[in-house]
Amino acid sequence: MPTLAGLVLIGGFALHTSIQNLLVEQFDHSLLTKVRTLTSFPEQGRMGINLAFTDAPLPEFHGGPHAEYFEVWLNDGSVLAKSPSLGAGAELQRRTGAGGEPTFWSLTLPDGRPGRAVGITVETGKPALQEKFSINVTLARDRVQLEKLLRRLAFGIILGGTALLALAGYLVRSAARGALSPVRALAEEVSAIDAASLKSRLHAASLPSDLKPIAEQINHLMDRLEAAFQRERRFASNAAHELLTPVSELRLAAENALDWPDDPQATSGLATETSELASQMEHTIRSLLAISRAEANLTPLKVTPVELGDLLEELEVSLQSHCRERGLTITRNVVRPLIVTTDRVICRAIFNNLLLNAAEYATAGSIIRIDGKRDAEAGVIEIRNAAAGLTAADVEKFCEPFWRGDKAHSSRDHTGLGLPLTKAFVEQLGGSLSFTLEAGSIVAAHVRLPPMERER
Amino acid sequence: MRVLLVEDSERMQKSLALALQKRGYAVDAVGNGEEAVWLGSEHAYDVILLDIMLPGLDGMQVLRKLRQKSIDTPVLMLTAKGDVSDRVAGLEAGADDYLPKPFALPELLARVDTLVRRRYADKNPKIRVGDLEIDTGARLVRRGEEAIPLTPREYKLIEYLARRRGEVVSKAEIEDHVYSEDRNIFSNAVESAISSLRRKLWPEGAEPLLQTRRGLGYIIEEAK
Repeated sequence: MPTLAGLVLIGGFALHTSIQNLLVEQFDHSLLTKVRTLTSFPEQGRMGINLAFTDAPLPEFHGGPHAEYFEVWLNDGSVLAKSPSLGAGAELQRRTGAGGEPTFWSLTLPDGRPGRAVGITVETGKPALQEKFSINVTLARDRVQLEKLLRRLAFGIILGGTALLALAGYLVRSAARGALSPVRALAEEVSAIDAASLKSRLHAASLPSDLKPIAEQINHLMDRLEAAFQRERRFASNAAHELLTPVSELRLAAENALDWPDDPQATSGLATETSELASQMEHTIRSLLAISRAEANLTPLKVTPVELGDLLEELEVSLQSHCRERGLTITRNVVRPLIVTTDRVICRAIFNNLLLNAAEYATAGSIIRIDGKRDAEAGVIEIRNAAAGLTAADVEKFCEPFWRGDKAHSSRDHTGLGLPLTKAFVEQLGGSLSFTLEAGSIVAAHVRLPPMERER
Repeated sequence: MRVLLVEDSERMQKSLALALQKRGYAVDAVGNGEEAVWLGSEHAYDVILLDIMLPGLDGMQVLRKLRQKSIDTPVLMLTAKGDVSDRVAGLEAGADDYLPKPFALPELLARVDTLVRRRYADKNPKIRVGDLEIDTGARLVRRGEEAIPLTPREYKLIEYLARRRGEVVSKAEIEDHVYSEDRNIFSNAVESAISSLRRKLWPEGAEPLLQTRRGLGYIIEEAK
């Protein structure tokens, strides 16, 4: 609106100025026409130069409320004639334009009214007598009517401009209200979404085409937010189970022993159970702390060149007996050299975890395949194993703390923290770890390790 | 009273089974959902203690299956997942009570007792039949003012019969509710226990409230 108001103001001013100039031009033209008409027949008589109107000047030159004025000079500057309306004492200014062109100016008339004057030079002579002479004439009249007209014009322009602005404002508001109505409705729908209604989605199909992309992106955002909330809920729920279950077991065993201290059924094995449960809880807590430290980059790193092929070969050897028990075969296809500057200890922990995981859960009698290649400056290692019974949704959750394939979390040997810890380690080394499910129920772990700056 | 304990943690199974047996309950313990559904459908338990996170069928699925089969045995759910939403889900699925882990053993046992009382429509923990009073909370039996010491088996028997006062209870029902499945009971164990109870509660000369219905079972009721 301010811009529009500014434009209307400038436009109105320009319009007023151009009309004013036009009106003044017309006024001047009428002045000029009159003075030319009046001075069109000058004569050189025995008494001097005669101008027809000076002998019998028109009534307007005699004074009155609308008096006009004239004055005539000879070349030498002497006054030849002046209008009766001027009286004895008043004079007009003698002016001519360059090259004898008429000149116009505004002035205050002798009676105080605002006026406008024209000054011309008239040249004439008797060709027969070969006499030439020139006179200067100034004609002045009031411009009261002109100014009244200009004021009316200004008022009209102001009134029109204001009305135009008001109309524009109304139209813009109405248009904006109409255009913003779907935006407001969309905003209301979004503001109604809270933590308890994360399944809500916007109805993008019913929106105007320019709002659809926004609604669709908000829906995608909601998908990610809902997934994040569900992950957090799962973590809280699983953490509660993993930490509270051993506490429950310990508590029950202790209460039984306290209630029936003389009953061997209540007391035998209590000390061993207590020790085992304490170890289990310690392992869980230490794993959580390790993940936390890795995610916060608190573990100091020792960055040196690491040949990943040698590291993997070393780990393969360490797994041989476990693989033999389950009838597993490991195949390795790693380019050499595959050297990455990184922390060797953490790198070893990463691949040890991944290979142990593969060896633990691979289908008995199957093959674990290790592939290694270079990608720009990074080392890329992929470990594949057959694992029946997993879905793509399961694989996506591999790195969620406490997630386990066994939904009942029955096994006490695994906490579900190994892969989350591995991921935290990989990310601490600046890399990435992801899992995919490939055809034939093959789980693939993809590790990318870029080079790190030495000695961090 | 007979309890089905469904818990996959061996440690917890052992501790809970012992506590319940000490309380006077006969206990059958299983560690997976499928067995729980089968046992719960085949036997008339007084209470089912059901963990949620089980291998195979989880606790919620077990509960739904039992309810679908119109098994109305009271169910007390146990789990480390103590969120309000988890509790509400369990109760809405048909559980009668919900206890998050870790819990105090006395509280668990008190809740089991309450569910058993509710099953037999006994709001009062003290059951009276004639001049016989069975205090199910204190596990005491009185006749008049006199406290009668009973063995745990005898107490379980009199409590079960008293809860079903006025009904004829068959020998098979007594075996189901008073004797654990894993115990080998002699064929005349019930008769022997009934005989022992009569001797202790109604010595010679007193009219026993516990009567035998030949070929049908036993009944305890007030003298007419």
